[in-house]
Amino acid sequence: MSRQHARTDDELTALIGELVSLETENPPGNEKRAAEFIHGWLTDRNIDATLVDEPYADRPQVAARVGEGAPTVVLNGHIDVVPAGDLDEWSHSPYAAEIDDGRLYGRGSADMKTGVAVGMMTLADLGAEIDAGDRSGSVVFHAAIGEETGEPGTKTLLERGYGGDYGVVLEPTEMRTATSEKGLAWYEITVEGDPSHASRPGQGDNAITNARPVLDALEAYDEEIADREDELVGQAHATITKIEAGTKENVVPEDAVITIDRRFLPSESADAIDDEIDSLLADVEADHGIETSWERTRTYESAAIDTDSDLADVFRRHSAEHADVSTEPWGVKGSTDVRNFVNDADIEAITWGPGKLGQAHTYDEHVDLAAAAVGLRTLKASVRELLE
Amino acid sequence: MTGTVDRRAIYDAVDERVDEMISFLCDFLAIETENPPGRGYREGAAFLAEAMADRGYDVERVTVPEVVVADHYPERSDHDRVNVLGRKTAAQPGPDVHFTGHFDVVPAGEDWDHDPYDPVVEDGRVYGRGASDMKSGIVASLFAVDALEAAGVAPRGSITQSMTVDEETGGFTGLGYLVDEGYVDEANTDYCVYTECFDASRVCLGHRGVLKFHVTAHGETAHGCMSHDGTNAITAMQALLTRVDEYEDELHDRTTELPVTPSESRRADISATMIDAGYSENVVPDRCRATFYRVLVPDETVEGARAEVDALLADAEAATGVTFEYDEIMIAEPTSASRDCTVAQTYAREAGAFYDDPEFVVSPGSDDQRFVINDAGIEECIVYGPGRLEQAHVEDEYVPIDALVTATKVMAASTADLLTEGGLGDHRPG
Repeated sequence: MSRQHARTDDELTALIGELVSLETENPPGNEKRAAEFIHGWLTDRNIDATLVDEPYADRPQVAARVGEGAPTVVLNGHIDVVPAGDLDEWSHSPYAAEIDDGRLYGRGSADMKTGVAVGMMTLADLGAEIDAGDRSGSVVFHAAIGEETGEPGTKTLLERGYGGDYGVVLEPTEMRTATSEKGLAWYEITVEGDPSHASRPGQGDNAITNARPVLDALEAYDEEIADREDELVGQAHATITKIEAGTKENVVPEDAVITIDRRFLPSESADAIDDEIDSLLADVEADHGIETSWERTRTYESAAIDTDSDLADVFRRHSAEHADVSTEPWGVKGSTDVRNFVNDADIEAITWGPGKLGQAHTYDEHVDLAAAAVGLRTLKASVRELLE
Repeated sequence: MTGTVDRRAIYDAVDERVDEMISFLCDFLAIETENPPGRGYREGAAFLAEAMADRGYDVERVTVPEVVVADHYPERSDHDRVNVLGRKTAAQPGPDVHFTGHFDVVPAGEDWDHDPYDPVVEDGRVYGRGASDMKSGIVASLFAVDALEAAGVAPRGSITQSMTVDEETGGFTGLGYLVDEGYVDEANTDYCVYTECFDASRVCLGHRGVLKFHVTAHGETAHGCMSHDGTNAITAMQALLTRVDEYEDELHDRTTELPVTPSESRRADISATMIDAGYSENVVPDRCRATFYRVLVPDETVEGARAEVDALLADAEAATGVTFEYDEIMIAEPTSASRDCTVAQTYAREAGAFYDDPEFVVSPGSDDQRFVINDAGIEECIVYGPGRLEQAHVEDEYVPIDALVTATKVMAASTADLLTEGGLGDHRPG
C-alpha cells in the first residue's frame, strides 16, 4: 500500500469513528449533532455546504456541492441510525466506535455512516480535482435525515435543488450495484377485546387470545408470499415486528396491536397488498368471530431502473476491478432512499456501498475497515469516470 | 336464655353508636392511604392506634424494616409500612378472638362525582375511597367490641384488633408480616375474622389463589429486510400462547365444589394479560415479554401451578429452540376454612338474625386470609365484613350505612357467642 493510500485510509477510519460516536438514533431523530459535524467538516475544507432546516427545523440535514459543470453525480447517505436496543446485548458499546481486529464496531457503522464517510471524502477529493481544473462536472453530497423512519429527508433535498444526472445511495451492498429495490409497507393491525378483571376472565374477551389466529394467519401469509420471487430482489416477506397488548397485570386486555413489516417486489404494489391484508383479516374474523382493523402506517414503494444503465455499468466494472465483485445484475432487498431519486425525481440512480447489509440493525454492528477503504477508492474511480 | 345479656341489648348498643360510627368512618376515609405506592400509612396507623388506646386496648405499632419492604416492593421501600395491633385481655381465661383488616386502599383514579378523600353521607350511604374496601370493616369490628362492653358483656379470653397495610399489593408487609413475626399464631388466636368486604349477608370461607408471572422469549434480532436471518421472538411467543390456550382448556375442567362466587369462577384459569415486543417496525424483535395471570382453585398449590408452567415453557422451548425466561411477579396461595368450623357457623347463625339463609361464599380473587390459615395454621378463620364486593375499586365507592350497622351487630353478637360462657343461646329478638 502506498503512503498516500495509508494516510487516506487512516483519515477514513477516523471519520467513520467520529460519525459512529455521534449517537443519531431515530426514533427519536437525533441527527442534528452529526449534521452539524458534517457541515463543519465540509466547510473546513472550503466546500460549499448548507444546513437545510427542512423538512424539520430541529433536525437539519446537509447538502453540499463541488463544481458547476455537467454531469452532476449525487452521493447520498442518511445519518440517522436505528436505536441501539438492549445495551447488555452489545459486547462493544454501540457509540464507542471501538476497533477490534480490523473492524469498527458501533450502531450505524454499516448502516450507514461508512457510506456517509466515503461520500464526504470522495466529495472533498474530487472537489479538489475539480477546483484545480483537472476534472469537469459536479458532485453533490447529501447527509439526509429520517431514512430509518421513512421521513422525507432525501426527498426534500432533491426537491430543494440538490439533484443531478446520476444518484448513488451509499447503503451497504458489499459494492454490488443494485438497479432494483424492494418496496416496504408497514401495517398496524388492531385486534379487539373486552376488558375484565383477570380473576373473572370469562366476563371479558381477551384481545391476546383473539390475536392468536391473526398471528397464525400472518405467518401463513408470509409463507405463501415467499413463493413470489423477483430475479433481482428475491422474495416477498411479511414479518411480525411488534405486538403490544394490556395495561395492567390483572386486567384482561382490551386490544392488541400487531405491526407487520411487508417487503414487496417491483411487480407488487402497496394498493394490491392492502387488498390482501383486508381479505386475510376478513377470513380470520369470519372463522374466529373476532373484530380487527388495520392501517398502513408507512410505505416505501419499490423502484427499478434499467439493468443495463450506464451508471450501473460504471460501478459494476470498477467494483469488479477493485474488489472482485461479481458483475451480475443485482437488486437490493432493503428499502433505501434510491426510490426518491428514481420514482420522485426521475434520476438514474443505484444503491451501492461498502459494508454488509446483514450487519444493519444488529447488535455488535460493525464494518470491515479494509473493505471501507476499498469502497472509497472504488467510489472515487467510478465518479471520476462519470465526470469524464 | 343463658348469659347475663341478650342480643337486644347488644343491638341497641350498636344503634346508639351509629352517628359516632359514621363520623369515625368519615375521619378514617379522609386519610389517603393509597397503595400503590403505600402513602399515609403512618398517619392511618396513628389514627387507629389512638382510637384503640382511647378504648383501653394495649396498642403496639409494628413498623416493617425497610429491608423486608425492599424485598417485596423494591420500588416503594421509601414509604413507611406501619401496622397496628391492639389487645384486650380479660381476667378470666378463655378463647382468643382476632379481628383483622387492612387500611390501605387502591388509588382513587379519576372520574369520581364525589371527592374520594372528602367523604360524604348521602341517601344512607357513606361515599369515599375505601368505604367498602375496607375501612368500614375496621370500623365495624372496633364498634362491635364497644357495643359489647356497653351492653355489659364480660367476655373471657382476649380480643385483638389488627389493622394492616399493603393488602392491595399482596399483604406481605401487612398481615403476612404479622404472621411471620408471630403476632398471629395458634397460641394467641382461636378465632380469626378478616373484615374484608363480602357483604353483611355472606360468610366468606376462603379464596382462590393467584400466580402472576412474566415470560420473556429470547430470539435473535435482524433487519426486517433479512427477516429470515433472525429468530422472531413474537413467533416463538405465539408457540407458547398456543400451549397456554390448551392449558386454559385443561384448567377450565379443574373445577371446585366450593361456593366460589360468581359461580362461573368455580374453576382454575389462566389469562395472558399483557404482551410487548418490538423496537422498531423494521427490526425482527429478539425479545417478547408476556404477562400471565393464573388463578388457582383451593385444591391447587402455587408449587403445582409453577411446575405446570415450567412444563409448558420446556415444551415451547423444545418446539422453537428459543429460550423462555420465567419471572414471578406475585403469588397468593388459595385457602379455605370449613363451613362447619365454629367461627363460620357462629357468624352464619348471627347473620341469620338479619338475612334469610346467609350464604357461604368463596372469593374469586385473593386476600390476606391465606396468611392466617395457610401460614399461621389457624383453621378457624373466616372473612366477614360490611363492605360490598362490587363496590371495591370502583369510582364513587360507598358503603350502605345499614350494612355497616348490621355487620357490627353480627360481629358483636358472634363475639359474645364465642367468648361468653354458653354464648347467647338460641333466642333471637324478632
